Amino acid sequence: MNPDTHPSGQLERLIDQALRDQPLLRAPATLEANVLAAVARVPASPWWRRGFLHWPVAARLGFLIASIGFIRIGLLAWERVSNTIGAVETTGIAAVAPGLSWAATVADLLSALNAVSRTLFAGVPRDWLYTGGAVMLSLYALLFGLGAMGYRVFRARR
Amino acid sequence: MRAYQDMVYSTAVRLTGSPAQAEDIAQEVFLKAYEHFAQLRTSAAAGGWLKTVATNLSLNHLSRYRRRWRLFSEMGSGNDDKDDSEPAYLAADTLTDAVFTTLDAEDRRQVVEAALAKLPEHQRVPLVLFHFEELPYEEIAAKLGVSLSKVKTDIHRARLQLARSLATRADELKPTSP
Repeated sequence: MNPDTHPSGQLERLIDQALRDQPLLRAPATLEANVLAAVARVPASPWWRRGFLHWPVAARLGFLIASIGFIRIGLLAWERVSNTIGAVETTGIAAVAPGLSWAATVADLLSALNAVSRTLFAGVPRDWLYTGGAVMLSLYALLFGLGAMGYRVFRARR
Repeated sequence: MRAYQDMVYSTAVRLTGSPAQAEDIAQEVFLKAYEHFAQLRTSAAAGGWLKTVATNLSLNHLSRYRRRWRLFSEMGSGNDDKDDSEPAYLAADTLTDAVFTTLDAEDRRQVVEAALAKLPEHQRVPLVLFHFEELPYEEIAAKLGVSLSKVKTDIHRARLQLARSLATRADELKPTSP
């Protein structure tokens, strides 16, 4: 028997009837006990381990105010750092902060390292860089593939 | 909970194809119901609410993993549609007879559940949403984020596969002529 050329309307009705006749599957006996155990654990968990919407109103307000404060502090810090960097660029670090002359040495060292790495990369053929990038992407994709296969074999088919 | 647990579990197991995942999802559904207990206790639509949540949680669960392994499994396999154009023929009344006369209810139940579990996810999910959840094609396409034509094709292929399984089982049970 082969239903492949079965007119699709009749096939739809046939399968619909067969599926609608299916009784419900019996839930495992452990389900009810697991749900009740999980429900019993819910009140024991403190408010900060629940979702934000379940926090007390005062805690939600405090969290929002603290968040805004942190954002303000971050913006101020960024402004201060930007000003300091601008001053260093125009007058030199020794003029801005005399006690930080060692920082000028570190900056010189970093800029020397930057120059060396630029020279090294300039010497590497572009094809090698592209090939290296492609290999890295392939390994990344392979990692996902193995993860997906492991999931399907060891967990999804349980 | 006892009144609805089989319905919630059945919805999840038919969508995910995995009893273990379905049990986890059913547990999550009832925990959500517990959170909304005040509204659900007096609602006549509690069953519908539970079914919708079970469906959505199952789809969320599937989509969490679908993007990750679709590229490696479904596209790579592509062999679930290979029998689409087989030329052999079976008349409508013969198949109906095979399914509803030769097979008793218990046989049919077992064959259908086994065939459903074997269907690839991209066929099983729209089939279940259409026939069990009674969603229209358009809503299924929107829920799954695929085109309307793909939904129709996948459901049609899933029906064919189910019909093949039922017909094969009916053939096995048919008494051989002397």
